[in-house]
Amino acid sequence: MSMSWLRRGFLLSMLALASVALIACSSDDGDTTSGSNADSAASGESTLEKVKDRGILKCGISGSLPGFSQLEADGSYTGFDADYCRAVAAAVFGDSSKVEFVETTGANRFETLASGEVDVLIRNTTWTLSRDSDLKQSFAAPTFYDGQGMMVKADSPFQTLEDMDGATVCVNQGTTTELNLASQFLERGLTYTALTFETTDLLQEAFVAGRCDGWTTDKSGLASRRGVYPDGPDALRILAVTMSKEPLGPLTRHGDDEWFDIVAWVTFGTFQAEELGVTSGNVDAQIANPDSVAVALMLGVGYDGGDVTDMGLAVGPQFLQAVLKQVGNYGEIYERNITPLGLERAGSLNALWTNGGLIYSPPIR
Amino acid sequence: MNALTNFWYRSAYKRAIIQGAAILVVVFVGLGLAGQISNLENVHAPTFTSSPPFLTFDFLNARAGIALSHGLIFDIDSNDSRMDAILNGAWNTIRLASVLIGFASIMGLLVGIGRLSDFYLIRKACTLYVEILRNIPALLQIYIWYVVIWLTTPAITNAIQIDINFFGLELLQNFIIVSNKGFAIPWLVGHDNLGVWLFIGAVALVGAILLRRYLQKRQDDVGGNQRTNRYPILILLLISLVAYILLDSPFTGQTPHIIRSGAGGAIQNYQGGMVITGEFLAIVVALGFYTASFISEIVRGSILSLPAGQAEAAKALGLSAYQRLTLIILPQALRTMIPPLGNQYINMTKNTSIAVAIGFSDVVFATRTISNNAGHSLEIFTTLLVIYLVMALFISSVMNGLNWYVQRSGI
Amino acid sequence: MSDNTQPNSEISLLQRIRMIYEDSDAKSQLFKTKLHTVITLVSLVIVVWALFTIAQFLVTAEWQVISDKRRAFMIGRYPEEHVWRIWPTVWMFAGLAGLSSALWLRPGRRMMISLFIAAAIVSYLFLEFDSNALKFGFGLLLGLCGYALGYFTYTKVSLNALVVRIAVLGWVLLIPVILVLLFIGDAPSTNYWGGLFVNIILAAIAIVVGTPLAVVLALGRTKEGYPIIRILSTTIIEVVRGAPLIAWLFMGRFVLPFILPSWFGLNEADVIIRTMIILIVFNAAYTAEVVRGGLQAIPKGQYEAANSVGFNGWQTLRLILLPQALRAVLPSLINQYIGLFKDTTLVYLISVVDVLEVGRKAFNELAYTGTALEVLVFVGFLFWIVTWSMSNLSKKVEENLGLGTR
Repeated sequence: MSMSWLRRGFLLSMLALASVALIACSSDDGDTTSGSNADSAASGESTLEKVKDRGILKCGISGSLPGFSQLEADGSYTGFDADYCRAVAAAVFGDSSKVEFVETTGANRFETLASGEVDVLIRNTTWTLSRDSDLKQSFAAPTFYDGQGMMVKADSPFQTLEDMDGATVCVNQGTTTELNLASQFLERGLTYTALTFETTDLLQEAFVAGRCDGWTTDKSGLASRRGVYPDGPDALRILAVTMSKEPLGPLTRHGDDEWFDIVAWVTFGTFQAEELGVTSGNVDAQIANPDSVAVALMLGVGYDGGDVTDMGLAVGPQFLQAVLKQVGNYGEIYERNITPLGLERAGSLNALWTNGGLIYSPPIR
Repeated sequence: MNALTNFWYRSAYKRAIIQGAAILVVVFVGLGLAGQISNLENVHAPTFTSSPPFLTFDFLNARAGIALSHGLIFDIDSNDSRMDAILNGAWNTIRLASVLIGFASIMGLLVGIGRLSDFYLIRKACTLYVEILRNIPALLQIYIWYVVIWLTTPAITNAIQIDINFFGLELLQNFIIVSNKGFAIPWLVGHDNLGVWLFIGAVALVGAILLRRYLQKRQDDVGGNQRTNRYPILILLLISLVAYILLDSPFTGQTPHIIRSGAGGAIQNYQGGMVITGEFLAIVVALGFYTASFISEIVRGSILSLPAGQAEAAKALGLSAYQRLTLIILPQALRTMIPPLGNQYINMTKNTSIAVAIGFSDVVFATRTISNNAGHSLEIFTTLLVIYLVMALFISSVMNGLNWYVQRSGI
Repeated sequence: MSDNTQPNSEISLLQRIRMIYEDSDAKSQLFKTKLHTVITLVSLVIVVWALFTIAQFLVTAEWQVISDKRRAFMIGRYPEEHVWRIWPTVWMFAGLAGLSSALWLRPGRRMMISLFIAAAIVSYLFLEFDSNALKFGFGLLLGLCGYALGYFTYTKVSLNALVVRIAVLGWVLLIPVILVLLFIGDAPSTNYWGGLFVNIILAAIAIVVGTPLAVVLALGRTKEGYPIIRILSTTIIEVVRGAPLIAWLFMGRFVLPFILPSWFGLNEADVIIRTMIILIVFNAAYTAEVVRGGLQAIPKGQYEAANSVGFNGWQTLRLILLPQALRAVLPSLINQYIGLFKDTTLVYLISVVDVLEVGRKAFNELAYTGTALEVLVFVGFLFWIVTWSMSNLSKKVEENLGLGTR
């Protein structure tokens, strides 16, 4: 008796499953459940079309690096990298909230980007040759110039790397710092043991316990983690030595120049806006009445009653308006996220080029 | 007759059609895959595979650029090749798996027998052990052993050093040192003549085995107790000992100690002895206890599957409880135990990959790092698959051999 | 209670144990010999000490983190305004569980009491008096109603048949209902899925879809006269079983997008969908071996008998082979499912935030430093409750099917 019911029920459930599949696959336009049904991996459909079809930007971030990208209690993400994700979304959709953040680890970020799971990776990632050529990624522009540092407990006697012969060093898996660590100790003729973790959380557990003598990653990352160290920031000290150059910036997949240009020029736009003194506070006034031709060109408005110049970027000439209104210029983004970490901007490489730093935008014209 | 042939043809046709269709599907899927992969050239492909031709493994010869630790015999330094790094990872997996197999088997055997104890407390304790441990994910147990237990052992600056003193005689200082850098225990160190001594030992071993055969044959022929075990072992020991003295100590024991380096000697490391890292130990203990709960079920099931008459008869013969267990029950239970045990061993070997969670550089860990630096996830995944298949095949062939031996010899 | 249900097997087991170990047939075990007495006393001390330590831990531990993160533990960062998609299935499950336990398990007082204690603990830990408490209470109420319905219609034959049909249909529709609710309309992306919810849904899908697949694979592997089908099934099963789940999960995340065809956007499916595919195939391969064991245990005579009454292949399979095979391997089948449920914790490696990962993130937060043990104990308890009830359920079903006694 129950057998026949089982069978009917089974058929019903299969029908229901099939309908679910149909719903899931056919509702691409309005919602966020799945990607478009075109085969972009093989046919190379443009990332921009894909993002627009989906209605939301998928952005790869770290998620556990205060100041860069950090999950807040209310489920939102804050930080420098998260703000750049929002800036790209603002440029594409005019709405900086249309971002879906995808947490990645140092060891899986490139595959996440390559497989199309995210559209852009903004995860304090260092620009290197092999990542351009071997991994076929395109770095837009460095948004943060950093260097690899070494953090030790404040009460230890270490001042230089030479002091650390034989040390056990905690390091994140799949990072450039893992590679630099090896070459730095090799060059200095020092021995060391690397203790490699995929997640920073567990690395910190090990470091707190005294399992490692040093903790190495980008100096900004060290400062960020130092701020949330269980025994307080004063329990830790970052050595003066800078072990490498670490230019960090957003990256996209090789081969989609249109999308690359958008990400690159959103980044440059934030630099340019700061240089020209356009902030989220005065952008509306500048749109109505631009100070200079350069500002007018940047914001995609006419100067002194003139026409708008469209330079042909796929997101239209006014893409920076929403970016600046909703996210702000580079200075504002830096001030909001990095300054609280205690990383002084003045005098560093991250100052504007006019102030002796490296933050420099090619002309927007 | 006609109907019968008709039927036969029909069924043969049916088979041919069904199987032909299966082949077609396989070919179709295979071609589709190949086409899909070779079409991937421009945008995404290079991270995934070299394009085209895909499935080339040259990139594995490049310099690894990273160091991998946790190796017992050798660590990998940054100048070794990527292939070396993967092989080092595989070696770490094998090492972990073999220690685990030993540990979990012994634990499992004890708990399995304990669950059948006539003594209420032991029986309940073992039942509790199994019911709790096997129902909690292995990963969670690894976290408990590593984060909650292992990392809270003292840092090496406050290492616990266990000495062995005998009536005021300081026999062995630093016999065992424990800190969260690991567990350092005494170990043997080989000197110049180790090779010679090993050779002599091997020859002596062969001689001893031959002697035992001879004595056994004589015992069968002539009768009487020819002490088939005692004399060969005595001779083997004697030869090894004499050789050891004559060769001027080809190996000696060595206790671990702590050396200091770095500024002001602030960095402390173990030297000498054998160091088992905390990560390794946490995984061995966590997975060992976990898998032992499954092995104990196999042991218990095998013992219970024996006919009750076996135990009764043994009891009637006046064998003691210990004799009944070791001479009658366990040897017979072993026969039903071996096939499921082999499965558990293979599962356990695969389970060691959970070790990546706490940064143990096993083969999965090594391949993940390489693939992150060099791309080529398809090639690397293929390599990983082959390595695990080889390990599984090895274990199952050993277990099959064991099974064959046990069934044949009837112990 | 359970001791009384099967007195024969319990006594015979003890008797057999004594035959193995005991030298004399002394009655009292605890103080039989001096050694026994010593062990008894020592274990008494250990038990008292352990109970004390556990009690001390339970009282002094900082459970605040569990209470603060209760939402994350259950559903991760699933948006608040979409939680309505989850509650109906919880209610449906509660009602069905109550109904089915009355219909098929006939639980005793003890089981019902422990159920209520568990519910009380959950409410104490998780709920402030808000709308969620009401929703949870509604679920409990539905469970009770279901139980009452099953209990009071048990003796009324015609009603009972109807109720049984409703229960069966309900269980069959449970997963489709969950999926429809989770995907219909403007649903949040699967990236927002998290917590215990992910573990349960991944395991459930892998079991529901993987098992039929497993039967097909097992039949393929045992089918005589079809060598190619046999080789094919064997290869699939053995290759999948050859590598650890972790490797397959990485494969699902990093290799699958490149090799899946583009039908229905399959190659761009979310991580969770790809994880589901991997878990379905993984579970199917392992379950296939379990089912194969059952199929091979069926005596040849059964096939011949089925043939002689004129059953065709499909009828033989459905009416003769599968019922017997599945019943014979039910314990191993449940064990496989339990293992799968525990294995879903590994999805954290491909950035799916399951309940254990929620916990790990929680105890690494600055505010909750040093709460690792509390969090791990709590998450372990959650898993233990689910797996333990699954294995108890299987024992109960085994008893009802009369396995091992015929």
